[in-house]
Amino acid sequence: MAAKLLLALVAVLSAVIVNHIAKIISAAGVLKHVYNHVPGTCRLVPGVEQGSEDIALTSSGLAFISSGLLPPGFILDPVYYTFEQKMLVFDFKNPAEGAKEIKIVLASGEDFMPHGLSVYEDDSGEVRLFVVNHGKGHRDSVEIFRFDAASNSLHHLKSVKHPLLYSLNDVVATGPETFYATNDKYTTGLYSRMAETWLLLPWSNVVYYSDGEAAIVADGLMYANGINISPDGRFVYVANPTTGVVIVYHRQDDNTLTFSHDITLHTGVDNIYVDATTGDLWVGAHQKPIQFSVHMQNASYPCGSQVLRIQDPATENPRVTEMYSDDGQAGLWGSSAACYLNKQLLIGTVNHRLMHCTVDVPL
Amino acid sequence: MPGEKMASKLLMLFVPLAAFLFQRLFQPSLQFGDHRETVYNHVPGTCRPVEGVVHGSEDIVRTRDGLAFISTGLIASPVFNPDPWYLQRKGKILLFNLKNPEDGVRELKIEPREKYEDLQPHGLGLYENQAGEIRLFVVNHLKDGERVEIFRYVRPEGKLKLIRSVQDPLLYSVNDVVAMGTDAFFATNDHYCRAPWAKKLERFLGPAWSNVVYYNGSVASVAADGFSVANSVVTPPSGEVVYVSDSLQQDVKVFRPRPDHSLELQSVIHLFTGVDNLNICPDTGDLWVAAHPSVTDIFKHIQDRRHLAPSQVLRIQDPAGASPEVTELYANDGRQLNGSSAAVVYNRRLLIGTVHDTLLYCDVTVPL
Repeated sequence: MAAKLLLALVAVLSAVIVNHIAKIISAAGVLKHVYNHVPGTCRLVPGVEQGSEDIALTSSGLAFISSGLLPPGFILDPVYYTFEQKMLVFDFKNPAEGAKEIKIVLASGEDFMPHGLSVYEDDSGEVRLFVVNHGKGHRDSVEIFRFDAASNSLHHLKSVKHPLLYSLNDVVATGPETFYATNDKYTTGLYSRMAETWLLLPWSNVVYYSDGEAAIVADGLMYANGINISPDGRFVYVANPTTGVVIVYHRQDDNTLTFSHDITLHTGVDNIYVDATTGDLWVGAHQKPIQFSVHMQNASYPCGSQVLRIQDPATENPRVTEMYSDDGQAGLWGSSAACYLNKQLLIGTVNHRLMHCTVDVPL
Repeated sequence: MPGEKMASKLLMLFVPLAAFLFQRLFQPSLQFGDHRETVYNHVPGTCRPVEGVVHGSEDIVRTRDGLAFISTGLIASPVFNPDPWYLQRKGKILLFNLKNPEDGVRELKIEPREKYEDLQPHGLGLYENQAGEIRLFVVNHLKDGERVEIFRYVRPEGKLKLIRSVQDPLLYSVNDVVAMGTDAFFATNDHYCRAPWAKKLERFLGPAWSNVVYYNGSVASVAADGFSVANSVVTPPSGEVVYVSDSLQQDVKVFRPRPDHSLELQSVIHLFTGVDNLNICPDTGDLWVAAHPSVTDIFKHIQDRRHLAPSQVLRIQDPAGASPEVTELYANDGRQLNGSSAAVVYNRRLLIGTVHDTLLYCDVTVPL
């Protein structure tokens, strides 16, 4: 009797393990083959070699780019520790000028390691930039800057810290000092974060911050990574690279989120850019996250890049088009962000280079 | 009691083993390497279906100056229960001039009349000489056996005049043909077995009995074998290299022909997709490859035309060299195009043929 019970237990356990392994294989993209294609003429933007993890665009065509990120939770090749953290700006109206460093005016002694970005513009004409900042010792905050075009500098306005902002990845501004942010993991230690990933623990969440208060508005996510909002503010999009899905939420009047639907993409979706005119989503993704992990440990190991465009994301029938795909041979490794304006596409990577493409295909 | 213990031990071993074998044999998507979930739609420019093509455009070949011959009305493979819609088809050869895409397709007259009545065209091959003579080689699946029909294309009237109808015991499951002279050709036998049920088994068990034969004008001989499903065969004008696609092994094999026309394997280009027909750009030597990202879905599409089958077109630069470069020109989940089987490019104009769907014409605005 006891032996039969044991056998049954073993059978159930092995089924659970096999199922888990299948999920990991799918999430890691191990069995995927990546094909190469470009939407037009592509060239690497000179001088950007230490990452361009997120890109946020202003209404005048200026793209802010975060650079020098050491993503928490990865075993990193020592060479990445030599990277300099900075903010860059790329002008879509003058693409030939490439990306320039922006001067950051921060209180002295502040650590600065920028990650996710969001631009906030209102009728006052002021351009604000919200930046996820990883301070040393796992102290995360959202820094709010005012952009001064004349001096090409970011003036620090406020540093938002809160106990519920503890493992930040991306942010999307909803007001001059309010925002949604993603906590991509629950723990902060390197190995505990890796365990959260490999054990597929759904401990990631989305938080809303306003006026000193913060609340969890979406919970039980596998990996809340990039976050953005529809032009009318009614839908919030969250990228989940582990499940390969963009989650679409309804935004309620009280700023809470209710689940609407998933857009299944079967790829490691990272950051989401929303086209202000069409509402299209442009997603930077890692086709084979396992390759990306290896690239984190070994800086000379190539990994692929992918950009997907999603039309009608808030409807029941989103249309997905692959705008760019590369297995690493083009020299752009680990795409995490894509920004589109006026037949030009800018593709950012977690800690590699930045690519500019013309878009010569019909949209 | 010991007997029972023994029996239950054997059962414990047998059940998972049987489950594994069952899955392996009857889970074709795993075996065929299907990847429908990661087919992302994209186009190289503006694409539109060509009017008047509804019963497929299985193979396409083109002359140096952009005249494309297309086989349509492919007989639905008896291996499946084909969708009744396909029974309405009539085998024809269409012409599309890539210099004047707005003219669309027109049907070519075939002489003699009996040949037109019986035509069940599949793969195509083209012979073009300096004098401007154009011969079209057509794989014809007649009830009483496979033929390779050799037609002369008569330009002004737009008709195909039969010159020879080739039959040979070694032409028994022909898929594609490539002209090597006025009367000589290489052809692929995609299966060894002839009975429909046997072909199905052949695909599942994978004995790799498919081959390529060479016909020298009077008799055929085996040029290469060991293919799982040898689908298409092409050569550049020089004839110094022969490319053969294998749909199940998901690759293109590169061969050097020996003086006796047998083929020596030089290299293999793995494409990780269900490769169908090949075409060569006569100027650059690039290979244009049409493929089925999900072989299971094209099979299902043959049984039910509403079932979507993804499409894919790849371009291979320097295919006979040390590092061929593969680019994906077109991919679709089936909503625009089902079951792509052939692709030709002329002057930034792309034509994509399908097994049983329509014909797609694209202007190529991305860099080539």
